Amino acid sequence: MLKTEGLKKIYHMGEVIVPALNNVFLEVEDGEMLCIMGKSGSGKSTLLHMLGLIDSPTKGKVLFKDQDVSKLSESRRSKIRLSQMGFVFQEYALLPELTAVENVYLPAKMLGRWPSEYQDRAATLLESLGLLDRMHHRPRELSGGQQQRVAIARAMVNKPEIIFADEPTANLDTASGKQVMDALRWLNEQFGTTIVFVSHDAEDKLYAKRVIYLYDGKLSEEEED
Amino acid sequence: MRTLQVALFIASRSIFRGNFWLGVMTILMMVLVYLNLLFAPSLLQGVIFQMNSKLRDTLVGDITVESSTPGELISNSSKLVDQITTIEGVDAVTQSRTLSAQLQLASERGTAEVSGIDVESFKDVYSIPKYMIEGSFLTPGDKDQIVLGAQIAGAGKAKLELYSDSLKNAHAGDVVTVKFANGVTKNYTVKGIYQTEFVQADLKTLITASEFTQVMPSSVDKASAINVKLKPGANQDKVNQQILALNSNIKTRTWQERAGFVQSYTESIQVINKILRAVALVVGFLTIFIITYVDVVNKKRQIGIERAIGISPPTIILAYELRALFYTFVGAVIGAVLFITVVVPLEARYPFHFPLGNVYLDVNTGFMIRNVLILLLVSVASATLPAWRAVYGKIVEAIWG
Repeated sequence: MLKTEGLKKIYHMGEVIVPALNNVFLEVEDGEMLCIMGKSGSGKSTLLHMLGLIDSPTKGKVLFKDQDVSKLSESRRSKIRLSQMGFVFQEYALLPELTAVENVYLPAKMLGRWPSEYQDRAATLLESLGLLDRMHHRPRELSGGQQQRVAIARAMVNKPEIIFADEPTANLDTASGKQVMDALRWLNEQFGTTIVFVSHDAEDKLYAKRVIYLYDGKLSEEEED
Repeated sequence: MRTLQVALFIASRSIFRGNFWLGVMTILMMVLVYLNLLFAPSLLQGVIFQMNSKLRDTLVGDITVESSTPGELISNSSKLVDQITTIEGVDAVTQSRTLSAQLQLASERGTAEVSGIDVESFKDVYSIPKYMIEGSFLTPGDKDQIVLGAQIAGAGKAKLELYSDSLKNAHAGDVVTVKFANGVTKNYTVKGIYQTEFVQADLKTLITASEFTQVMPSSVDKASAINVKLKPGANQDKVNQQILALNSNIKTRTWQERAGFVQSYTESIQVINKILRAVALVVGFLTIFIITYVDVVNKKRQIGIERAIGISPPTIILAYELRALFYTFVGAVIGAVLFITVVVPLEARYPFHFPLGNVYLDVNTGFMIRNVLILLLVSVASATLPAWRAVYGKIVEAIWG
């Protein structure tokens, strides 16, 4: 489904050149639940952004369903993100002026679905994630775990083929983190949605079908000591 | 359509669920910007209106008819006046004869043009009799009586623009000596003094037509000028053509053609007007720009998230534009209501006094609507710039904040 070939990313911090990814070859299978682990600054979030088309590589390719998407225009990438990908970010990235259900159905509205269709789907998703009674609450009225589950529902609303989650449990307590990871696993098992998530929490990798490690921008199948 | 729907959705939620006081302050700023956009131009437009009104009501009427031969009088003027009176759209017609003269009161001298007027028709065309500050206006049978404009009488008003060239201290009841250009010298009692506050009109000196005939016997049934006042809404060009068709020995000039000396004032005022409007628009532009800019900076991460989940940049920009349009429109509507119900009546009650008299705000619906539209356009432009910059940056940088 998703493949990278010789992916490189270099950041320029003034005159300093910082290599974030170095010649990364990765293949993500359909229906996989992949965990990318690594220490802070290892390049795991950068890799996730490349895979999710929200950043462009300095060199190399990202192939999504055999199409090189790394050089597409922002408009085309935006359409792919909207219709075929879902995102869950580290810090409950909900729009504060929208209610939970509005946050969930916003991408569906953007995709041009009928209100009756997307409102029902958003409500069903929230219900499945145990948030039915929180549907009309604003983000500030929800706990961190609840917000993150709303973000997962939002990521699912357009029935994407793949969901990217960037340290989804990073700011949550253990119980809330478990709820979030359970929700992601449920999506993977229930709908066959491919999940790629980044974490540095050893507990999280237990949810993955496969774990890969990033060390200083280089990929490894093995965990370093 | 989808872009508009989503943008409307985001904008409406941002307006009604965002920071309440920020919204109120933004609208208040737009109210002030709109009032600023209306007030000074309306006042200056009022000055122009007053200037033109005074020119027509006290000096030239709407159309002036003169002999086509320079220096000659119009012959058979009474018949011509009657003919002009019958033209559709003509409200009133008056004729006058004029002769230069030197006026003297004690040791003070001044020069003026003395006009012999048909008193009743003069009152129909001009509003000068309403501006008497001393004594009274002429009546048709008056003999040896003269009415002086304040600028020639002086009337003890040292602040008058042309006081130094006036008789300085002439008052109603005083006797002035008038030496006409044809050599006739005669004493007149000052029956009244008027002050229209329009300098050129206040330089006039008036006597009755019969009195003028005694000074200049050859002026019987002749006129230096015939002045025509039109009914409101009359077609000036059409009336003008009809007058010209009556007599081949006359020429006509409209009040606009005779407005040369006020034209330069008018043009200067219009330039000032444009500058003030431009400044008001810049203030409006900067207000919305700063509000949007600060908002965009504060919501940089949110914009990044919106983009990451697939909300297109044009949708996000449109949401900011719609929000700016809303604030501007509400501000302009409140501003318009305040202007009509508070500012205009208040200014009418306590008008600004200019050298040519009280000036009232001159505003019409078209002008107000035009300014709303201009302000809306400016607000869209000012919201677009910062939103554009934020939306077309790198998503990752936006998310990182």
